Amino acid sequence: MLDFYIGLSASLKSSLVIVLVLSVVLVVLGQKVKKMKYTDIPSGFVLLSINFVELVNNMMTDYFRKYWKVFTPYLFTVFLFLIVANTASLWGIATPLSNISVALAFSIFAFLSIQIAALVIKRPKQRLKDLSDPHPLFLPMNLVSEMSTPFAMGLRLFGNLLSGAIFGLIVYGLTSWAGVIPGALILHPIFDVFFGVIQAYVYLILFTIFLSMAVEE
Amino acid sequence: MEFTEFFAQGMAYLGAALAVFTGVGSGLGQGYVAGKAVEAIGRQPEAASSIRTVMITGQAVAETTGLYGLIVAIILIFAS
Repeated sequence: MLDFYIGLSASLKSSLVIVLVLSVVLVVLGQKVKKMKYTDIPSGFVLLSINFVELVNNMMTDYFRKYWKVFTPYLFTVFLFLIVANTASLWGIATPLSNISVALAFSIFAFLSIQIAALVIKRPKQRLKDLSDPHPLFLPMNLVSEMSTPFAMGLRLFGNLLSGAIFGLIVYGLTSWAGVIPGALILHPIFDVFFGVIQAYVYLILFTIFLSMAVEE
Repeated sequence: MEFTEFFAQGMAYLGAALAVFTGVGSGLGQGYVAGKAVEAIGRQPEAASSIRTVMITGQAVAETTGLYGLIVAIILIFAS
């Protein structure tokens, strides 16, 4: 087991670490929220996370009319992982999404969940009718677009995080005489915090839009 | 002229340089989106926050083609 872990590449290791840390933190937080009575006033980290969940819930109700309660926990979990993973280099671990296997795993997530949700909710017959929308001749084109949009979503994450990592290598290599100052002032605020969070948000929005297009009428 | 493996590698580097030129298109698109967003905010300043959200989402989507060029360049450099 330990040999298996040591043999992994740095990005896969850090993605496993992030999953572990996030699940422990979220379970502890959930127990805390569950124990609260409705007259208690939340404070600190609990208040922050309750507000965050409320924000995402409000955002989801704009896109899903009917099924937001089914999909919001799943989308929110993916979003949380992406936020923590894209800002991972601030805590000194490798960014998981700069490995293409992790990025394509997100494509497969998106593809499988969209297809399975559409098949379960709309039934195969109606789904086939949706896929051959203007005319049955358009079926192959619609199938290609069903495959390519999740693929593009994963590659977008990969390209952004990889370009950030390459810029980091170049800047740190060229300005080694200045220590961590250029990285701390320019590199990490832009390429990790800003672009990482924006890309996580864009992934969430695109996933939500495609899912709601496949599921709702 | 002889076609050695060095020739092939040099051509791969040239191809990588050409592939990065996709950034021109995405840069133009992002600038256009930003300009239109400034116009929209000037016309309706109270909707600034929602316009900013839509602008950043659109720019991130428009960035994709540039990133594809980058990925192609990196594949050409490191995987050839």
